[in-house]
Amino acid sequence: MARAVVIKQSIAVFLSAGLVLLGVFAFKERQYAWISMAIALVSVLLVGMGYDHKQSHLRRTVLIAVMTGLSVMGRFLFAMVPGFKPMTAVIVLTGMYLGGEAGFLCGTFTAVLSNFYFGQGPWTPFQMFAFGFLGLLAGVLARWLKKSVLLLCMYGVFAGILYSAMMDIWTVLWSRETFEPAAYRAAVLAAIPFSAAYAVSNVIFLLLIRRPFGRKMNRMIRKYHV
Amino acid sequence: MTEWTDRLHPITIFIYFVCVMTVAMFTRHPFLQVVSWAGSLILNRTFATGRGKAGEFAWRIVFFLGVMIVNPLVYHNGVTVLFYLNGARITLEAVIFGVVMAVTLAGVLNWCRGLTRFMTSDRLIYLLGRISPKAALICSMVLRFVPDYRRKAVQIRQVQQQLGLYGGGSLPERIRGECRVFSAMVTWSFEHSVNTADSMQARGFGCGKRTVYHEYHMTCRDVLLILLSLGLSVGVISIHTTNKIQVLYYPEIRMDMADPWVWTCVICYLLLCLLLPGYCGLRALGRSVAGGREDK
Repeated sequence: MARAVVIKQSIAVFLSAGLVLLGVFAFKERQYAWISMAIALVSVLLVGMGYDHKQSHLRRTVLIAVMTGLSVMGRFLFAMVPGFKPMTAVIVLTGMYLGGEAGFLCGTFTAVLSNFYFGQGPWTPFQMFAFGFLGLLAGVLARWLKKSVLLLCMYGVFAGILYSAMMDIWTVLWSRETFEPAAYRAAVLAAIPFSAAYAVSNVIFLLLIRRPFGRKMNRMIRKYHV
Repeated sequence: MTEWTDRLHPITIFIYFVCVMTVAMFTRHPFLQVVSWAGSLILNRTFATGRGKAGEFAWRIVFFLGVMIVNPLVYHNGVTVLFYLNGARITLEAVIFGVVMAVTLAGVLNWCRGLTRFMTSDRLIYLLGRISPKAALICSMVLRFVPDYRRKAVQIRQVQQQLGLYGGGSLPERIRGECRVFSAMVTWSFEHSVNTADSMQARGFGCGKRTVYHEYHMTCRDVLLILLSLGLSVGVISIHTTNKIQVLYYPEIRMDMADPWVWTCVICYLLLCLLLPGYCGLRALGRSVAGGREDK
């Protein structure tokens, strides 16, 4: 078993190195976009493969699927209000209560599966990575986020801005040859309404669902040993 | 849709789309971009099951016009000045670059749509199961949960409306109502998940290696398609690696038209783009001929 892990992961590492080199040589003008996309994809793949070989309870795996389903559903429920989505809040709560890895998987799958309904595009790998990262960070900071509402709200604002800023990196790399600070500044400025909407909706949803979700999660953990 | 592709192996489809989209996303050459756009259009138009919605189409047009117009407004490098707008110069190079960018985006989005259509969920789960069985499990469960939850949300909303708790109306009212629906659904789904997990365990989940049910077989056609798409894309990318096919947009558009390598590359990519539409077309043709013969 352990050997299979080593083989799989070394294949992944060689694959990523090969991808980066291919980008450097084949698509010189757009190597930044290429490499960032390759790294986003490979990191998602590595976390997924790492989770695969971890002994974890089946109930926990199913619960991750449930949380992912709920956050995809949240995108449907609020489809008519642009930028105002409960996805990040659900992903953050998953990270907080089920651990960083679960948060990462929840974020990644939310991005890729909801895009099947709302439109896939070249932004999907970046979106996967951005949402996954927000869930992972919430898992790392879980101890403090559970204690203080203020910190949780601050994390919500931070997550909204960070998500927007990460997607702006994609926008710049996609449309420019290199990472131009001027273009990035323009993109960030243009996306301010969206960042604000993300941040506000994150805080609102976190405040709204923090208590009920926390109660339900704690009950699941205590009663069913999830 | 299924008629033309039901026999193709998921790996074939995956490799084909990776080959096509790699070039479509990362090349800057206008000819390759136009070829990619045309190929994706053929794929989507010929085998589209339903007509796209008019609203979506209009939104796309606006989006692409936006991409086209923003570039010359923001970037003023380039030597051929067309006119001055509020003292800023609008250059031909920036306009052309904007158009190429819009075509790139249109092509890539079309390919993504094709991929979504060809890569049905069972194929996706088969592929994921090869790499990471647990991820495939989560994926298939989410795909099952989403329609389930949508149905449940409708039921809960109806009950809430009957109770007079959820009237719609103003935006805060609507959000509060949706949150109540969401909360009820969460409780239900958590309990549901424990049931699911327990019944899976009771049926012996986790004993032994996890396999994926599938009915795909690698046939000669699959091998041929894989070899062709890999060969053509290696050709395109290796020509791309040499500097022969570079295009400079700023300060002045410079590209080599006379070089035979450029045309080899474009033709290779054209063949690659037409590979899957051509295969589907041939298969549909073969079926109709065979069907006609049976009738007689």
